[in-house]
Amino acid sequence: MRRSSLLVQLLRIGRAAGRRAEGGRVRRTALLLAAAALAFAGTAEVAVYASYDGMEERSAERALQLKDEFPGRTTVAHAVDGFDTLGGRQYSVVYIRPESPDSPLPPGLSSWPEPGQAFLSPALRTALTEAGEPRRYGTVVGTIAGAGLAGPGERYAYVNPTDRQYDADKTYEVVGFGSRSPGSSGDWIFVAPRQRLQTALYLLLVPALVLTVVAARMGSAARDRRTALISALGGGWPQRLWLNLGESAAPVLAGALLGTLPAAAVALTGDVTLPWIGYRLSSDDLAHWWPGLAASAAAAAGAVLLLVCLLHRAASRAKARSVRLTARREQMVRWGAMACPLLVFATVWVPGLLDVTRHSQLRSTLYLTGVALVMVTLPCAVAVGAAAAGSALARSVRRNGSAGALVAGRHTAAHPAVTARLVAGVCIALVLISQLQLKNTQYGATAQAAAATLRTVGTRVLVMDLKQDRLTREQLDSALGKLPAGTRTLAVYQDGDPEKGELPTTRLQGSCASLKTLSLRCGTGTHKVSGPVGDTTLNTVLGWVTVGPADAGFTVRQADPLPARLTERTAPESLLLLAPGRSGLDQAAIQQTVRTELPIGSAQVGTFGETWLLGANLSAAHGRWVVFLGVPGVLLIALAAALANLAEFLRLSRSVAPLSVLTGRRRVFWTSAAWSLLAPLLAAVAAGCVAAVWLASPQENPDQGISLSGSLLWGTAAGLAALSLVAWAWGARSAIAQATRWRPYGE
Amino acid sequence: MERGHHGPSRDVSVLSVRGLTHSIGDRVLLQGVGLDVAAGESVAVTGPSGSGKSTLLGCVLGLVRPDAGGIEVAGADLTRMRGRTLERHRSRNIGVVFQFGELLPELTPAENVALAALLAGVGADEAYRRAGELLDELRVPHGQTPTAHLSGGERQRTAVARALVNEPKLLLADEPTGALDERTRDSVADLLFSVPGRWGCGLVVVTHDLTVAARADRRLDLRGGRLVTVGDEPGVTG
Repeated sequence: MRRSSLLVQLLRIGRAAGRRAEGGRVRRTALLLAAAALAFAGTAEVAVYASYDGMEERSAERALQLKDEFPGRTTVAHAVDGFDTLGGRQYSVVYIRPESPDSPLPPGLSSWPEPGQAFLSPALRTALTEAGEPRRYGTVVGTIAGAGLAGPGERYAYVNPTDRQYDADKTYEVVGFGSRSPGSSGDWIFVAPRQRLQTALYLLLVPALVLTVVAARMGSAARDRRTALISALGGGWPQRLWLNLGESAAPVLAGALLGTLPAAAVALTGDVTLPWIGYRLSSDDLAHWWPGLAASAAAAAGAVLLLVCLLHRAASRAKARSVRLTARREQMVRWGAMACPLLVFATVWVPGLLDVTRHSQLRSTLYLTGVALVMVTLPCAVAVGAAAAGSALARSVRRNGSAGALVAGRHTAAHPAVTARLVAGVCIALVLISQLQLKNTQYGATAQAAAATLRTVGTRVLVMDLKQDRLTREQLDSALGKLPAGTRTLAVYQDGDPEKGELPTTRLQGSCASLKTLSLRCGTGTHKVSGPVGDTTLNTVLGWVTVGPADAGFTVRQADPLPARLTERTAPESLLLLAPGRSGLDQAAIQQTVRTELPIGSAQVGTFGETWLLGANLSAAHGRWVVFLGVPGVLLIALAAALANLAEFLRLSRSVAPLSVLTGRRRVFWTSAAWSLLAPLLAAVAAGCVAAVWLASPQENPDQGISLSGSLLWGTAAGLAALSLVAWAWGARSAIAQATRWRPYGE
Repeated sequence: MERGHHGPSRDVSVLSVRGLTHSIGDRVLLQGVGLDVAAGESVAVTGPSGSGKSTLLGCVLGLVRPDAGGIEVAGADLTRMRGRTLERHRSRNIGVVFQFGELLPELTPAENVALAALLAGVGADEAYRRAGELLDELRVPHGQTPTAHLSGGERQRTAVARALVNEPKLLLADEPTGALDERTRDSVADLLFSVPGRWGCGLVVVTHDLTVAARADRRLDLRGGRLVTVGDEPGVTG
């Protein structure tokens, strides 16, 4: 009984001490935010597990059971699972024809579509409507229910092909649905590996831990004195533990609940689309994992409380810093400030002076080292700038009489290291985010070429890849005849049999009009073209279609592009579809014609290297996750740094408190916080943006898909500016609260 | 306005405390305390720790609201004032010297002194002019040297200058020499007790140091919640 009442007393004392301590409210809020950030990171981890598990489970349940695997079972449908693209993104389309209307349905379908009809996922239906192609797969007779989709945002379609599209010989026999593995269709094959996302979550988790450490150590001097007192009075670690828990438990528990709230809200209410990356999070999946959500809240609260207790103990051994060290630190800040602009110029210019082919690795090392050094020295530059401005500000007080400007100006001028620590998070956040984004948008070499071709050629030339064994001349003629008026055709053949020792060569064959479209000469028979080609479009096209040695050239034949009968031996490798004038072809219309007129999977139309671009876009989409998680991560770091230095501002404010109380002037705290916190932080945002843009310039290369995202940079800058405003208001209000409690005695 | 060297006008009351009573819980700290301080007069209040000296100071500053009694500073009753009116009256009529000076170390002495004037709404030119004059009179070097680099005595002189910059009718000092060595203490105490004679304000010094208290015109001891006069003769020491 006595023991339990002592515990309650200790908890109460801790709570009361936390409330009255210098900067106590700031620390409580910081602890709340830290616990919230940790809980949020934990629930994000749970969400990843929940989403992947749900995705895997539903993908497995709808996987096609093929006759080859179950030879004894009755065929219920014929299917081809393929891919299609929309807006630069691939998705799966299952062409399926049931044996009878009574055949078992795949999950998510309420009935079988008739030939020429389709069931679409809600996301695909919306996307097709927005793209102006609602009838891409014929008549849409329904939407696929959630049970039949990997996730609520999946683009997926079950299409019953028309007779013209359907060729039973080229389909798989399906005996049912469901497998132990997710199969090879749908979002499961497009999403980033689970491990990659979990690694990216560290971008959130580590800053949350940093914030926790900072919050735990805020106002540590007063608490360390209390620890010493408790020890002197005979209290041991259990007593100190209960005191610490009493002080921190309420904000930490509140924070853990707050951090779990977004995931819990999704689990309880409905699916939600994540901003910027557009991924749709399944409410059902999260709801199944509610014990995990509760556990992550508990783990976050436990981790913060544990750190509060552990760091507290460790701190008691900390030594006071000497004045000499402080002086040296101020000097280092000045050296850092002087080095910063030189480092920016060196990082931007020096690697570019080295030959990229011979010193690629050295260039990269120099650049990354430069970026790291700029991140370290930029806060020094801002701090020294602020110190100079601070002196000027203090001098200006003789004219304008602003007491806050006098206090803040002199303080900023005297302590550049304090300002450097204050703004470090902001400067590092902006440079780091811009670099993260640049690293995650780089294309591979082929995708770079595809992107370059797309810019040069556009849709004036499209390439139609053919599956020779699935097409007849009649089918192809019929489809080509329905292409937009004026579309010209040139066939690409590969001549020369390597088995006979002949060099492979490329032959372009078509009508005179088609040849002229690519600036090729007409004439009877076959003629060889060698040497450089003047026409840019032709040159670019040749880069994609020719085979053999680069100097071997190619041949041109003015003739019907297609042979009388299409076989594997006689059919062309591909067809080039050419626009008659300077404007491009209607790619969507041509693709729709091919989709409708030709058997499923027999031909595909696109721009050169489009599949490479699709792959690159997918990688970029995966990379966006890194940025998506990294941005809040660095904002947390910036918040941690700002909070750590709010305590410094409160110390400054404490010395103004007597004057403020005696004169009744509280506005001085708003003014001094504006000059001590807001102005340096905003200056750091501006300097960070300039540095980020400059440092990005040697990396930027539109041909390689690398360009700094303005929206990301300005969005981060806006977030940091908002953070600066919060720090200002927080600092001023805390200082006022502190001053209100000040009395000229009882220290 | 001409500053300094006003002759004492001992018939003008700057502080009049009547029947001041204040208790915290069951503990009665002040019980019907009365105190009158005239312009140009100095009073020292002594007493053991916990006797209520600081509470008395808090009441006179209007930071502690007494249970009963009246406190008139410069002719106006503080206990009837609220909020901004109280703050304005305090700002115009009371100056305070703290035990540890409570100066901002990064500011120059002139800026520290001018800051108090600026916060009281005095214009910048006037604030800096007054600060310069006061520091000259109190012999504090005031170039661009930050206050942190001054000696303890110079800092406390700066604190006195700051307390005087708004031309208060009443100057309060809370253990003003508590943090100083003996030699510096004497020098600061001499300066402090010369203030009423030079500036014509009333001075109340709360101290536990009897050698400092002995310099006051009157010495009062706070015992059992009441102020008891210790001696009638002015205690002036060289």
